[in-house]
Amino acid sequence: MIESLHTALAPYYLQIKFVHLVFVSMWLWSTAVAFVYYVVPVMQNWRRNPQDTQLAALRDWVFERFDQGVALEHTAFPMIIVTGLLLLIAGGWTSESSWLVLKLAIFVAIFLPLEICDYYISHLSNKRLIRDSGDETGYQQAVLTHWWFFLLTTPAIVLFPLLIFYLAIVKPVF
Amino acid sequence: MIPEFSGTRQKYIRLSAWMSAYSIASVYLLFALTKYLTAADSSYFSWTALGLVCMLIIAYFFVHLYVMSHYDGTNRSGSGWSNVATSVKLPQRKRPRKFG
Repeated sequence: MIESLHTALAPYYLQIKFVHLVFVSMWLWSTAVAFVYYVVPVMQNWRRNPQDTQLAALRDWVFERFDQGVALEHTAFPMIIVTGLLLLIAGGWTSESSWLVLKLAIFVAIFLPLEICDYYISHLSNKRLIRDSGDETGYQQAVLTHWWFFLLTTPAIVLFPLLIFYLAIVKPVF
Repeated sequence: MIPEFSGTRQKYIRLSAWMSAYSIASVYLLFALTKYLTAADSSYFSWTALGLVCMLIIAYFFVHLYVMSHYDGTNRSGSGWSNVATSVKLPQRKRPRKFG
């Protein structure tokens, strides 16, 4: 089964890689500007002035828009998994390639749990839906939970993708 | 009613410690175990590797702590994150920044 898939996919390795890289870029950078220039400044201002209702309203608006925008990232993520698996089969890679094993370890240990949490926070615990339900306390709690999620995961989001890019492109031997 | 954000210096330190330990240790263990189980390569289980992992955890802890407090806006008022009041009473701007 794997052998026949390998034979069928091998001629299209570079094309699959192209699609994979497009979705990887989309996954990594699609929310970068919104996060750095909208979510963070608004949240920092609200943190300095927590009683300012105008800032709180602006913060809520930004978070709701971010929930919508993150759909791009969350569309790309399953595509990365599919094309990644295809690349694995087409390339005939094995665990002899340490760069690949490390890359997959980062993916499984860091990004998979992170994205599962992100799917839950952004879609199942969607701020706009909570607002529509009229649960004001739940809404505020959801915003703060989302902010905690950002604070906890931003260092990993900054460092590990760079490492993944390096491993995938340079393919170091170690 | 707007609930107060429960970020404190101690909480940042605790969470950064957990996150750095989990991130580096889990990636290392997955990597070394996969190499051992699939390629019968046990060379990654060594004191050198363990030492490197410990150093990476310590380094990543400080990066994590800095990024966390930086993004929360709590290291603007002085010499760094250590200035954060444990009660999260942050310095007030005289005039809130205007948006739009």
